Amino acid sequence: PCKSYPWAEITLFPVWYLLFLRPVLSFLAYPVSSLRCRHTSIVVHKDEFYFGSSGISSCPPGGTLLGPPDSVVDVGSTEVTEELFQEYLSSLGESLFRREAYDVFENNCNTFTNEVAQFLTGRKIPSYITDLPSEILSTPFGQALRPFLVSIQIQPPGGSPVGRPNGQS
Amino acid sequence: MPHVISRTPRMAQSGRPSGLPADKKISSSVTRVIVKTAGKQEDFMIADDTSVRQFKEKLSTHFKCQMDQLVLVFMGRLLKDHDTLSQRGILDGHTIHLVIKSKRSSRSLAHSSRKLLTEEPCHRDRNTEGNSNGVYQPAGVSHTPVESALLVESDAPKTHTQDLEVGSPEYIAQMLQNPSIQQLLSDTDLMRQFISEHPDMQQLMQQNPEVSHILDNSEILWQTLELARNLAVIQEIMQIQQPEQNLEHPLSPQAHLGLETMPGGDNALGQSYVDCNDQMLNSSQDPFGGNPFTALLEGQVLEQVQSSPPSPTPPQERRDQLPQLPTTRVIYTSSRGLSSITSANVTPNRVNHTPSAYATTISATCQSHTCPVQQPAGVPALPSIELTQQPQAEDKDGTISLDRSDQKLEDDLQASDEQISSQITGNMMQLLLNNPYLAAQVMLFISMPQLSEQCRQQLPAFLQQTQLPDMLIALANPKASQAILQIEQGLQLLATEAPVVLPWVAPYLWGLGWLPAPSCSYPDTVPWAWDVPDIAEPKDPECCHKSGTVLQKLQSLAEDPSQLPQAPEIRFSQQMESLQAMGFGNHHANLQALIATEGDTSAAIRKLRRSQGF
Repeated sequence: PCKSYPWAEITLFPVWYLLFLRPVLSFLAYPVSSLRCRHTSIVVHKDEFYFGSSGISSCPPGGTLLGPPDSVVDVGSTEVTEELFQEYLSSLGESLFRREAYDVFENNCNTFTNEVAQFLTGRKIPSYITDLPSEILSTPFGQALRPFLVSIQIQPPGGSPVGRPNGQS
Repeated sequence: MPHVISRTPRMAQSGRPSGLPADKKISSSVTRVIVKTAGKQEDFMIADDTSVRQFKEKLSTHFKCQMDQLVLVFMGRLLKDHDTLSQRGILDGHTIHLVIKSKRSSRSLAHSSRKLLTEEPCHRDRNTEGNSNGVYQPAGVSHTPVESALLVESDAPKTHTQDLEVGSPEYIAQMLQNPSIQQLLSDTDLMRQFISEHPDMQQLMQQNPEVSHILDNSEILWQTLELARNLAVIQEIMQIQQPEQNLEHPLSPQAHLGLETMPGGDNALGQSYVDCNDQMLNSSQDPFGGNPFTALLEGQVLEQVQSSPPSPTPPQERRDQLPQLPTTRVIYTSSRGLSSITSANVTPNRVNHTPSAYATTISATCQSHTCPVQQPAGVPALPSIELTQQPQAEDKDGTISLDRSDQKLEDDLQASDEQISSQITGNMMQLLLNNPYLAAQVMLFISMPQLSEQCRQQLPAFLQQTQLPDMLIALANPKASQAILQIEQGLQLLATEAPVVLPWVAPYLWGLGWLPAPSCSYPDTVPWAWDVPDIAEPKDPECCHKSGTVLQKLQSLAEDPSQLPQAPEIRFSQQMESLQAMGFGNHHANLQALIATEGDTSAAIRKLRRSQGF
């Protein structure tokens, strides 16, 4: 559903984010009361993009093993073309969202979705999603589990990596 | 005005002429913008009337690249050279995103980038020409080669990723080596709580009370843990048993497990692969301990199981070999939505104490029904037991309840979630039933799309304010109750907005006893009397006008909840003075009129004059 306005000389691509409430950190979700893990990914140009412990990945929308999302939220529209977006993702993938830069609390999938949404549309992801880490850390359980959580790999399978491989210019 | 879906830049564009004094601030000649690129951001001070082109010049020197490598994005819009920044609505403190294209202007992957080189110069032309077709095609064309390139290149990383998938034994081993996990596992009480408080587990227990016995018997738990850990054996068993048909005979020579108990269960295993969960639940009477397997196979109660097992030897052996560890259940995802078989009660002979069979669904490979499945070594397979011998203990989540109250809260929230919806629905339905007039009004309410939209917009803010678990409510409620919730919220909101809304809604609601009499500061009921005729007479135009007022009110509420507490007298004090000066002596009447017209003095005057019979 791309919209083009030839008289206005712009073409708009819709942007959504997908919200997965199903526990990504499944064993974490239940004990920490109402905290269900909120995993998000961003969909633009008919692809879903998300950030995990092996970097930025992409797949067809709903194509990770998580399956279809719990909700699809319209973020807005963007003029950013696919190729420009790929450039942007590459630059992110080398800087802020390198594979090693994944931190389940500070720099996680929702951070990525938020960042990309802002780039694409100027809008942010609702704070109840991005505030999840602080919610978790505010419980003693979360604090206790922190060292463990930091060490595990969190990557929904089913996507393929995006961005320049490490070291390549 | 054409129907353009435009976002802030346009709006800001049109909004600017009307003046945004707040933004202009002191220095109206220089604007500070934030430029964000590749994960870092910097501030730039630029003149108000800087054109995009000039800005790009500045940036190109700053970032040491060529101007045509720069692409500026603001609010999702690409900035073109001939625009000025202020035209695009870029004000002080706004963030502009910058993408610096690589010199070859190619994408990240080497293979397919050639094609893009030809597209790159076309890109801008397309934009300016507005040739929409041109946009799609190259994008589409170039997408596939990139995709294939992606696939090609990602073979290596893909396997790497897959290695990290939770289901794999290496990963499980890695997990188990983590000392914090080991610590958690070794806490028996925790693990027991963990399992017993998992909602799915609780559901299981409701359906099969015998399962709760399992958890109480620590020995069984230990056995389960140990037997469950041997993933390799499980696989072996599965492979062995799958091709077999329903065996009448307990023993399968291939099993070499030494347990007569194996075969039957494994058959079931093979079949149960595609069986649904109920069967699993049915069969999960008891998994372990000696020849509870008999009982299990027949779907009998646990009591039998716990009574002295007929063949003591295997369990004994097992128990001997079991270390003193609490239970975990092995989670093994085979496919989406299907429960997969993880643990098997393996003979003691085969128990290697390799910590390989433990997995939690860390990586989101599991759907909500990924279950750690216990496969009890089944005893003599009876034909009736195509039942799955997999007690489905779903402890995919280590509900290590360090904080029990959190558990309860979780359950409570889930329960209250439904309660809320049913409560609200119930209340509303009752209310509507009792007051047909109110019901009519509510219908009117619903049928006013603008209003319901406002209410809908109100809802998130409202929920946040009330600090409800907005996510649960917003997402878990069925649509109907959500709509009703919105209505109720909207009506409540109106009620708190007594001064403004009551003139419109009150006559109906008062009569029905729904709204309390206004507790605001106008004890004088006289003014109301002639407000009513106002409303009653030309219903439609007035209604629309008033609804507009209500909408505006709601809107302003959404934007600034702090406006709420201000008393109308204060807000309209100026207008009151002017009305007084004009000779409208009735203070109360003036106030009413002003409230009804939202501070519009001239409208208030018209109102007053009408009511006073001029």
